[in-house]
Amino acid sequence: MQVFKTLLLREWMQHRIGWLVLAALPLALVLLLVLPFGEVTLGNTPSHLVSVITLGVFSIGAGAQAWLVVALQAPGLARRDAQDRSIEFWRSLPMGDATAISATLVAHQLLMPLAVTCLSGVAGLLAAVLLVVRGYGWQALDLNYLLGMFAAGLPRAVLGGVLASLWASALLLPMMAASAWLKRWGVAALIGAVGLGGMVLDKVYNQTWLLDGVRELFFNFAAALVPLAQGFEDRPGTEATPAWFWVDAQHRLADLGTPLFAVALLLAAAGFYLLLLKRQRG
Amino acid sequence: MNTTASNAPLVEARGLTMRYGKKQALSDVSFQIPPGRVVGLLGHNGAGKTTLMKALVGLAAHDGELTVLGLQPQRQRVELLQSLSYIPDVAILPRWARVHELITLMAGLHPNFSPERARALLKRTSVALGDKVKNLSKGMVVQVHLALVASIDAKLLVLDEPTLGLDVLSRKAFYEVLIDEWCDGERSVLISTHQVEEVESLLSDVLMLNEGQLVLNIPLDQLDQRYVALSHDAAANEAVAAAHPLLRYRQQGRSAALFEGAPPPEVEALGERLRPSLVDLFVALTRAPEINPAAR
Repeated sequence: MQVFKTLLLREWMQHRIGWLVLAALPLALVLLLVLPFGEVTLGNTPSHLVSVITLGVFSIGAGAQAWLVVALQAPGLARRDAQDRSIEFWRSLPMGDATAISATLVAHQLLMPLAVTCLSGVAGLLAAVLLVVRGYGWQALDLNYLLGMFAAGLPRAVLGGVLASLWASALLLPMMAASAWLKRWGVAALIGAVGLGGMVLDKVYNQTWLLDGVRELFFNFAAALVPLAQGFEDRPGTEATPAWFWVDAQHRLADLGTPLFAVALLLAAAGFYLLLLKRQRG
Repeated sequence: MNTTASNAPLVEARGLTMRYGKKQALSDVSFQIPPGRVVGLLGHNGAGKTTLMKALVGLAAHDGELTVLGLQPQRQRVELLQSLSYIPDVAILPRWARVHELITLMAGLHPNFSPERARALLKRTSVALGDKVKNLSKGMVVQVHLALVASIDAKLLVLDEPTLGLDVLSRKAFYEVLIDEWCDGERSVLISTHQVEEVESLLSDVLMLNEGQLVLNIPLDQLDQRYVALSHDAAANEAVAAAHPLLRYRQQGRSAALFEGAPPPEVEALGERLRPSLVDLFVALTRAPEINPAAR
């Protein structure tokens, strides 16, 4: 465990500046966009709705931004130590290759997006307070309501982050493996092969399972992050939102029992194995 | 369990053979490294030095028997690396890291690493704890690396061309730290290098590889019992050549010849015995593959 924690610390040491910038962006947006204006006009929109939407937009927006960074970084991470030639140094230390790869994945594809989402939730809270105060005045601010929404949304965001990480593994680990083995052409080759293969299967053999499968993986990933998948027509009023979060969370947990999740795990395991093999071969 | 007895060899290889595709990188190599030795692994580029070292630290598959510190390197790599320190030939410390961060990481990753010792060793260098690796010269990076591995309480240190590309001052500083801080008479070092002259005075034993074959495995104090160098006048050239020396060369303006064993008495009478140098032996044993089996 000590080794794993130290490897997580290594990720923090190496990437902390980028991560801090990422986490600070929403707060910087609040300060830049809300504070300098002399007047904030929100029309007739109820203050409750403004605060909830602001909170949601910040949390979901920052989470999406964090995951975008994860997706863009993943191919590079697969080759990072080989590229800067420090791989021999790391492999001269008494730690397993699987442990080293796992620590990188946990840091970048679980802890970082989770931390950014949580910190963005706090920024969203601040933004909501500022917007309501600037738009409607202090008397319109219902802090208890806002904190209640935050407290209800936070567990859903954390659960969503964990589930999104699991679904994303099925997409990111094969991408990383392709990058590790085929270098800069790996991701393009993988996307090309899946895209072209899917189209050929669809058009020539009338088989849509490949493209449907990829689409479903993306959908489940997005549904884990954004609690909208139950359908807009069922969208509750703001008072019922905490209960709705809970119902939505149950649906997302139930997704783990589907055959698609088993396929996702297999894809992730195959990607991990290929990464491990590449690292062992140097 | 790592339970090597105090006098048991730290490294034992029997019939070690390794291939890269069709190329045979090591052929039937057998040797032992006892405790408390400083062993030089000499050979030209492509002789198999790095391949052998990778096998020793469990980073490459091999045929034949190999035990290091009583462990099988490839199967027990993580356990082995707790008692074996290794500086690979292409090792580059992570460029993004500061020196104090490397110490923190090593402390967490290596159970036998002493951060205090690393800081003390680094005080002997011009490197500051806050320096970033990417801002250090190559010599400084190697010094940091040596300070880090010398702070591991290990039984065996494996160094693969550690001073390659360093200037003479950096090489000297490296070897000073190595001898002062590592060699305590119980721990062993295996060091591969091209710079034969520089390491000769440090070594207790030498292993010489040529084309994947072990052509010499000898304690240096037995070198002049097994090999004889003869300095002679030019007039004796023909007679000396007729005795088929391993190598003919010039030393201090005179002709010289290197023999395995004593030269014939009539030839020996033509010149003056010298202690053979490791460099001349290196040239003799690695430049003419057809004579190597005889030199084994």
